[in-house]
Amino acid sequence: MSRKLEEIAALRAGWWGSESQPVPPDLIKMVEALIPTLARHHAHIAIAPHASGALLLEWTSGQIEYTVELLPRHGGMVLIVDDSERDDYFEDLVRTDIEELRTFVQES
Amino acid sequence: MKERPVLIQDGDEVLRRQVHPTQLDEVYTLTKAAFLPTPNDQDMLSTLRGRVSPDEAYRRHTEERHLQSAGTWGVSVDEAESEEVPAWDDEHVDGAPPDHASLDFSGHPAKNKKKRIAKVLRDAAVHRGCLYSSE
Repeated sequence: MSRKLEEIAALRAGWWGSESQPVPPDLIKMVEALIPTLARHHAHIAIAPHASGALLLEWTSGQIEYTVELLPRHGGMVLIVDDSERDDYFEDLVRTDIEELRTFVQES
Repeated sequence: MKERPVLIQDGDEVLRRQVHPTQLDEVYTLTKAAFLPTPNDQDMLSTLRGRVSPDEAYRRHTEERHLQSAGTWGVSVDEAESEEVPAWDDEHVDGAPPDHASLDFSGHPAKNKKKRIAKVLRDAAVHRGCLYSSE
């Protein structure tokens, strides 16, 4: 996970076309600080940048897929719980806060 | 003269999508981020037409556009349309490269709907398998 974050941190403006934005360092640092919690609670969490400059975390627990979208420029973070089999979907945009994210990871 | 995009009618056509190396994942293979358009794209996800071979699509992306790619993946027109995402041939629209096609998410203004569609398209691409990889 640390290696993936290093690769993402190395991206520069234009990495996915002229309008694409790098992921801001503060979002990278926040996820780095969460690595012990993430590793303790879930066997695997996928991390990926988006061309908007957002950072996405994805993991599954049983049939439920969890996604966190950390938005750049203090846009907050989107917490998503998606149970496709039951067609049950929850999404909430909240202020970016490491403790709230830690709680979301622990409870998922 | 600027031309209008044309709706692609062949549901079996598999459009070519490039994926950045950082959007790969060792467990899920691809992340949803690879199929999520940005506001700057006007909700259009960039692909190439199925008549372009997967290796040629990769070459154009890496050698002509000078962008990184882990490989070429595919989504069919039918798979997109089943999510009410039409596929447009827009190669003759100003600024578009040859053989360009766009998957049009603009009918779904809600962000949560876009993410669900990105997941469906990602799953379809993973199920189909990588069409071309440089490795």
